[in-house]
Amino acid sequence: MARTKLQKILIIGSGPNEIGVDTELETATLQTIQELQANGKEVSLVSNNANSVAGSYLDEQHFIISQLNANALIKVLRTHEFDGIVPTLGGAPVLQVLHQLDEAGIFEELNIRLLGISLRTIANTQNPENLNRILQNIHEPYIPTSILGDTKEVLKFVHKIGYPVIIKPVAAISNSNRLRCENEHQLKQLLASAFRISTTHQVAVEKSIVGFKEIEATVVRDNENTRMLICAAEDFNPVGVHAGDSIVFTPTQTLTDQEFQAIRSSALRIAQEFKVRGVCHVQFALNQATGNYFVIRVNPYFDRTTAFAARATGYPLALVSTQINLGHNLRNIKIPGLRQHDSLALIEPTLDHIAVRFPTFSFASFANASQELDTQMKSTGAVIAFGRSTEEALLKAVRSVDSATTSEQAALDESRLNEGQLINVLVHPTAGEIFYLLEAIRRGYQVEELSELTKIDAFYFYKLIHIVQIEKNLRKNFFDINVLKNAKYYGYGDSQIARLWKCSDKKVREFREKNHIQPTFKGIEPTAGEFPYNNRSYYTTFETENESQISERPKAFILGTANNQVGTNSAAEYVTIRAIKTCQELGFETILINNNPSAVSILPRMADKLYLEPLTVENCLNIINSEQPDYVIAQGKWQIVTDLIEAGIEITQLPLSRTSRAENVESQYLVVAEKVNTQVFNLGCFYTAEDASLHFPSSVGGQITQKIQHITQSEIQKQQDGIYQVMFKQEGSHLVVTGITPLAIQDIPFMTYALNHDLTADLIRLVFNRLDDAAVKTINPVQDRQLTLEHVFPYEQLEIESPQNPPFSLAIGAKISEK
Amino acid sequence: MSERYLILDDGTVYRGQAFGSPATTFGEVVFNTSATGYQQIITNQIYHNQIIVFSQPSIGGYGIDRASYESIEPTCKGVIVRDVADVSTNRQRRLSLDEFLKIQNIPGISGIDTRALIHKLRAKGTVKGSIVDPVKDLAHAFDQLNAIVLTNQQVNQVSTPKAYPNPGTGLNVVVVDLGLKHGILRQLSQRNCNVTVLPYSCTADQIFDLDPDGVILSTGPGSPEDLPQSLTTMIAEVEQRIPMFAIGLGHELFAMANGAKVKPLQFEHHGDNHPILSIITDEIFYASQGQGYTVDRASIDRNKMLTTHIDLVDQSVQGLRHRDYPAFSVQFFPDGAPGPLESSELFDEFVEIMTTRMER
Repeated sequence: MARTKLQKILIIGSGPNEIGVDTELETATLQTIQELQANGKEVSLVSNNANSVAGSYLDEQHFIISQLNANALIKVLRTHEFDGIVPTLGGAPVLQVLHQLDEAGIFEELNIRLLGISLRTIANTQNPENLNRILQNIHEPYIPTSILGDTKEVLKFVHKIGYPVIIKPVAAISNSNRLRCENEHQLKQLLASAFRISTTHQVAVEKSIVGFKEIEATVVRDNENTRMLICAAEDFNPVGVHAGDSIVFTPTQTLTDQEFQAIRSSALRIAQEFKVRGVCHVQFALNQATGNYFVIRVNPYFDRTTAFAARATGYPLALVSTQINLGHNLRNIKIPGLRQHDSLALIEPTLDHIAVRFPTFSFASFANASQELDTQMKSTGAVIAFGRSTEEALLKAVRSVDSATTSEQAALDESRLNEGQLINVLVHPTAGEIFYLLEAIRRGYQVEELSELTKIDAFYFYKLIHIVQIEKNLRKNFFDINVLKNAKYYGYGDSQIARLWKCSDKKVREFREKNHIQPTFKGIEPTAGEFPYNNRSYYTTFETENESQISERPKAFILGTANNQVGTNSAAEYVTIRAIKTCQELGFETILINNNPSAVSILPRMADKLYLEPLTVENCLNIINSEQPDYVIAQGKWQIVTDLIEAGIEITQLPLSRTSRAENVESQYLVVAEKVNTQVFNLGCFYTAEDASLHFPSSVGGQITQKIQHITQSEIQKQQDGIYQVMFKQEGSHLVVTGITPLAIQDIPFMTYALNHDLTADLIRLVFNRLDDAAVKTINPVQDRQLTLEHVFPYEQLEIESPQNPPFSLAIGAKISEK
Repeated sequence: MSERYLILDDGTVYRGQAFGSPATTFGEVVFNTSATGYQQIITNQIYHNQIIVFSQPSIGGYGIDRASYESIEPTCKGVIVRDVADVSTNRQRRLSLDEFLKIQNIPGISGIDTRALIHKLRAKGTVKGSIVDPVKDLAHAFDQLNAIVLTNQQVNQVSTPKAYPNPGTGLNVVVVDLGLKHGILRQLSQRNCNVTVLPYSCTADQIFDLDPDGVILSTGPGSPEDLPQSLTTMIAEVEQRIPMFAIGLGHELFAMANGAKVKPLQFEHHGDNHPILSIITDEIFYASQGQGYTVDRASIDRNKMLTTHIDLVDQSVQGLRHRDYPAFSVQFFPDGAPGPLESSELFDEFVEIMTTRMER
């Protein structure tokens, strides 16, 4: 019997960041926690993500650190008495585990119910055979697949589904690829060898949809079957490139209304058929030649696409989904922002901007990995950019990447490629594809030709041609006001123009300002200006109306972390959030600039004001000029900080190391010590193991503790106020100090948890001279548990060998465990 | 591209780039928030005399598509947009939007801060505007704009002057053309109806002479108040004898024929994102809307008609049903084009009503 009470709720988290798992699930998790708590529920989160922001919003009892496998979760479920589980916030792996938990009978035994989706929905959407069977029942087109045992059967099946097809030997003796066959001759040839290497003498045959257009629909359904479309997004790359590695646009750029409505109707029908309650992402492949579509994936949970949908539209997806999970229906759910009309959650989002999600890669750090884009996701992060034309949105995304990861993006210099190499890149897309496409256009390739080679819609090549035309104009007309005006209108950044004018960014900026070519700020909201809206998020463009109202309050402008890269990754995001909170406590209006679509810090309840803009000098200066903040706050020193200082901006840098804890520093012990007003506080001693993992508390003995204490005192006394890490190496009975450095961003979330003390808050309060030393005196670190921090690296996902001791700066996530 | 200006009757001037026809036109400026279907919107005759602002920042991305006409000769007075895509190929791309508007003699202007313009339109309500050539002295252009009196004879200008058939082998349906949207004919074709389209000036007797199974009152431009009273008389007579389905302007006339009043909407609906509640089934769906007028809820005679649909954004009446006769109406466009097709089943309902009557 189902429990009627729904008071104690467990959210199963997503685990550490890796390729394909940015902070988007953390973002939705935090919103869900806040919404559940606002409804009086007792919420717990189980995760092993050391950088969990959502976890930092819960106390020790409610942030449960555990592995996310079935056995560990059974233990968690047995020790706590949960009434319900939110299964939609941990991505696909959690759904697999839930299936195992169900097989173990744990839900029935403990009387726990799932919120949002049922086990049946999970099984039906995640198992391809079930999925296809149900799609067939409701007459929704799916990709026909069959496992067959002889050539005749295969030919019969292919005759039905049509060429091209993909075949793959079942349980092959050796590694085997998926093979594409265009005709019967080719098929017969390939089948012979495929059957030979299959141990069961079988092949899997499916219709090939490589080259079809990929469309991603995000819909919401409530408990009484009201359904609405939140967002339809269109992938730039066709099927064949992982959707996470493709540039994505919303609104859709090339769909006719008939195609759009067909996809909308299908997505709504699917949400109904699979009995989704809450959010659902349905992925489609559209055959451009016929206008027919196929359903390729049904994800009734939060993912990268739903995160983009929420950010691009400004629609509070997690809030609405949670309300639905609690039994409310769309007609009664109110959303913040809308000023009239009862803040109706039911108004379908419609946009007057174009949003683009643009993948970013870390190949400079993993030079021997293959950069070719295929069905395996390779990007380590993404940026989001907004504009009022396709060109503007795209150029803003490109320059976000330019500034953050120029060297990483294009390992090849596109202008030096010979024709053969260039054509090869066009046919086999690689990371940074857009730069090669632009180069091809510069070299005079025609739209039809490019579209044929790349299977990318001709529409985009018209847009790229326009971008190259503006580039040519800029090259020909140095410091021409009208040419500059036009370039700015279509999204060219000062730095991009400076490169073409062969001068400094500053010169372009000064010329622009002298001629009054100034940006305006527009609100990001889901009604395209139809209804009055309390805007909180803005982007820049070069038009007439400026919507950003400047308040009289003291302001702190906080530089966000931009796209996720290896190294600082999600830990930097954690620090950003703590910085926002602390600045708010100190009475500042917090203003954030960020452009990571998965970031937690861009949530509605975070900064008071948000600019979803590229983290470039130009865009930062635009905001600084308009807002006139009292402080500009950055986490440590990195490129943009240096550039802004050069541009004359005074920056309050939190003393933080953006590299890591102890690269090239040998140590066994690491003490975190804080100096406030001549007093030194030893906050805690960590143990640094040989495998680079970090442990707390260190199991160091009495005498050594005293020595460490003593040395720390005298060493830190010499430093200015701040928080430091002091590294020790034991040599016999001696302790040698091997390094004193600021805290490393990568370790802060773990240290904050272990020490049970908000280190970021202290850093900020120290900067503003507002730290009360009493707060530091009374800290209460974790005592009775042994905590371990381990970094997670992307070597396996990039299919390259991991070195013995990979540098922390290449870690993509971090795992926490406890004993 | 050459420069052109958009001027409004409150004295505002917007500078932009010309596309489409170089003509100078005058019209009421209205905004549409649909994400797709610019061609259907431009060719919808409800926009006769109006200049359409698209909130979607970029239109023209797939050119002109042969399956997306809502009328053969669009009669809107202009198109205002932030950005128009310069494309000319693809399987469906025969004409670009620019070429199409040149042929149809409709001016367009791009490079406009349409979001700012929409904010203004919302605050001001009805605004007259004109797309003009960039001359130094705009006084003359403004004089012309202020002097212009927009016709209230829109239906007369867009309705077919002569009856014509759209043959099928199924039910016989008369469509009274008030500025017909092709979507209605498309829906009837899909249901194999044998259709006769009549001019708006048709009489009840002319309809009876055709002995139809049902009558559809089409969508159309302008205010129902400006139409001759003979129309409501005709409706009151026909509804008693033949199943009737009225849409858009037809719905407004149907309401008036049954004693209700129609008033201008403070905030017009042009888009497809408003939730609409079907009171009878208690279901919520979305539909394409294009309305500047609404049936005054208080004026509905409850003994005669019941409200079947409301817009959940402003509680406006979206559907009516006659208590005594097989006649019903909706304010929104159940044929989509552009927009959701969730309510196209209303055509099935109409077919069902006609079939039941026929069989009796």
